[in-house]
Amino acid sequence: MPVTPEPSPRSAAPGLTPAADSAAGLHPRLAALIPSVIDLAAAATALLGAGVLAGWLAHKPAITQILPGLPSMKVNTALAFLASGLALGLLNPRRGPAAARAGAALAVIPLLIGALTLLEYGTGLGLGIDEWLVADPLGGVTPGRPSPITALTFLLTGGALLAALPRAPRLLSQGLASVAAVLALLGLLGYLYDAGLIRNARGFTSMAVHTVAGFHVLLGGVLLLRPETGFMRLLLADDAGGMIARRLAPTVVIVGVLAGWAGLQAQRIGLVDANSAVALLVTAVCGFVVVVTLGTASLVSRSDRALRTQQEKMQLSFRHSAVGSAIVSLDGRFDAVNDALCAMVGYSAAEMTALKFQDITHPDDLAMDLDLVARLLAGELSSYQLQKRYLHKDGRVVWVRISVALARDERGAPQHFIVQVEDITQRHQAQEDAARALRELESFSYSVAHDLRAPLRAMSGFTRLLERRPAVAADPQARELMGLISDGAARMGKLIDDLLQLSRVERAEFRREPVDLTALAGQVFARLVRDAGRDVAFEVEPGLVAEADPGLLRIALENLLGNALKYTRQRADARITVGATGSGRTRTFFVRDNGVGFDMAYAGKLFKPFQRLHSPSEFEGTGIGLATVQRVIERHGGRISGEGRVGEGATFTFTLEAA
Amino acid sequence: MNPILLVEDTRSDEMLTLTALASGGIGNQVVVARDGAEALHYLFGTGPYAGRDTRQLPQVVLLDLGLPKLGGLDVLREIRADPQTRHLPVVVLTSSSEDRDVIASYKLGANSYVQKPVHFDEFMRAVAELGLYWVLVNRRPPP
Repeated sequence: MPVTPEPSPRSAAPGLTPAADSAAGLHPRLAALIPSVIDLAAAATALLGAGVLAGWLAHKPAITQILPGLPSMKVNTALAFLASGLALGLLNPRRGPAAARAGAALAVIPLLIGALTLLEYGTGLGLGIDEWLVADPLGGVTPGRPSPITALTFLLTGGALLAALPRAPRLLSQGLASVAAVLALLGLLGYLYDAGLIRNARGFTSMAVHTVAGFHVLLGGVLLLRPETGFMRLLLADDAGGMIARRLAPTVVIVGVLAGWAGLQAQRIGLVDANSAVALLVTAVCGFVVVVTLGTASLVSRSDRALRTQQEKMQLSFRHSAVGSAIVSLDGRFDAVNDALCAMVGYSAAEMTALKFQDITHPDDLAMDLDLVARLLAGELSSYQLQKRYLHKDGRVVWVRISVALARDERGAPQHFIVQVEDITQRHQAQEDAARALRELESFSYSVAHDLRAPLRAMSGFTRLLERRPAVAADPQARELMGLISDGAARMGKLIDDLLQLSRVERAEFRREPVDLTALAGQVFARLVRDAGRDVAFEVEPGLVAEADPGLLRIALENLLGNALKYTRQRADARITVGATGSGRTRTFFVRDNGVGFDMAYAGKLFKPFQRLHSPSEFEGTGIGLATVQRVIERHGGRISGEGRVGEGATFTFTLEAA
Repeated sequence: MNPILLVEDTRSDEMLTLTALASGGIGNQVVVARDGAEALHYLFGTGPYAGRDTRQLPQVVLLDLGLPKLGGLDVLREIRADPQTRHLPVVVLTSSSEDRDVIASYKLGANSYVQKPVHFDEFMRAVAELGLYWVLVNRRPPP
């Protein structure tokens, strides 16, 4: 039994390298904003640096210090900010690899500044870098030198920028930037809480206000350079976890900072003492965090329940579907099956999970199946359908039609097969029965024609022999009777031929190809007119081509032209025309004659078998010819109609394809 | 003169063919086999024809296809399989006009294929012409 596969590559396999963002599962809207945010941070930082440098050169303390008494942002700090801002902008992934290399080069500047400054602090030696551009008269012990925290932060930031290059270890950039961010946050808190630890550590200059601000903006940008790794991935994730992280983390930080500030203020104005302030602070923070956590948890719980309900629905529909379904592992094992499939092959669900599909597939169908699986895994197909045989547990064959698709993960790696199975044993049986019935009909028609002709030949033959006997030859009435017998036999012979032709039209395999209708009509007509032995004017439009079955079209033309010849017998100037009108799908062919025509009132009977519009004494005929032509036209998907005028002729118009 | 072997199961067709041959002026003896097995018995000198001198082969075999027991095509196959009868002229004379019968006959090595017409006059003419050709005009390969 031949297997009929129907591989259906409906679309090429999805590209195996989707954008990094969607592969990492980042929230699409947030992820789309990242490049712009990075550019914003980069621009702001660079402008800050450039502005302060200009302030130093133009001696504008309003820029370098903001307010009198506050530490100023040093020249090297401003320079480091300028370089960092530019580096950040160039390292933005939307700029490409060449710009990234330039950015990495620039990132060395803050790195160096930070490192050298720390070296100065560490060794107590001056390296002459602090006041290289401008003098810093108000600089205290170490004029022109950035605070050690600033230096360390730049060292880390420079490293984080360099580590943002694609080939660097994944978490390094984020790690360095995180530590730097903590330092920047300490700087912020130092100002907010007036913390001596940070502000006036051992006489070193402390961070300027705008330095702190600058670091926050800069590091915000740096952390976004590799969003698909580390905790940034979690913060930006497009799932419940990301939602929690986005709500909780900032909230806790902000609440913590504010509560601390509020507590300190309360203490400063004497509302409460130091210990009470701490107690209040802790209470406020705990309370707030619990509230926010519970709120977020409720949201997540709801969405999780909705998801689980959906999963349950899918499970139920999978299990109870009328169509067999299975999840099949990559090596062919039935990981999950539903009841319908189990019923089809007679194994219980537990037994199925111990089986592979190769075990229950008919050996003759296995090769084709495995080949399609291989093509599916290779990405040549996105799914396929196949008619094949399973072997039921009790040994019998079950014909099924399977649809197989491959599930891939976010990175395009194959995970498992999803298979739908339809039992087509009944349909297959019906198809086989139909095929057998057709074969039987063929052999029946054949024998009928063959065996009916022999007795007819006998009738005709022996009648003729009788006609030769002197007794009959001398008797005109006897001869007439004999003639009638012969005619009867001849008519029956013609009838058998016509019926056989009609049955051949029904049974024949249909094959459509371009057919030179002009030539075919010419051939058919030539043979018919030779047999008729008269002169008939014949016109056929040159170059007519039809997409049709050549054998069937010949039969149709034989009948149409045969009729045209027959019904123009009484005209001396008989003319038959074959032509076409229209084009493409509406191409219409016609056969026209100027013979006796017919009464349009009876046009409905034209194509009905055995219905004739002329009496047999006028024109012989079996009444099957036009029925046969109609069958040919129908098999092509076309339509045929006839038009006639009594005494003037008839035109038969037909199409050879569905409009 | 070598006889003509007519392999035909229908009595009426047999009678008509004999009449037609006679009318056509063909005087050879006509041996009639009523089924495929009998035809082969005659050709190879077996069964009821045991003892016949098998070196004397018919001038031509007129072979109907629709025979009981062994069919016409099988007879043809046997005739072509045996070296002694391989070149024997065989004319398939049958009611069938089906393409597949024509193709099968020629494939198995028939020399000619003629459809028996229903109309007797045509039948007479066809058989007469056949007979004349194969008996008088055609030259058989030497034994």
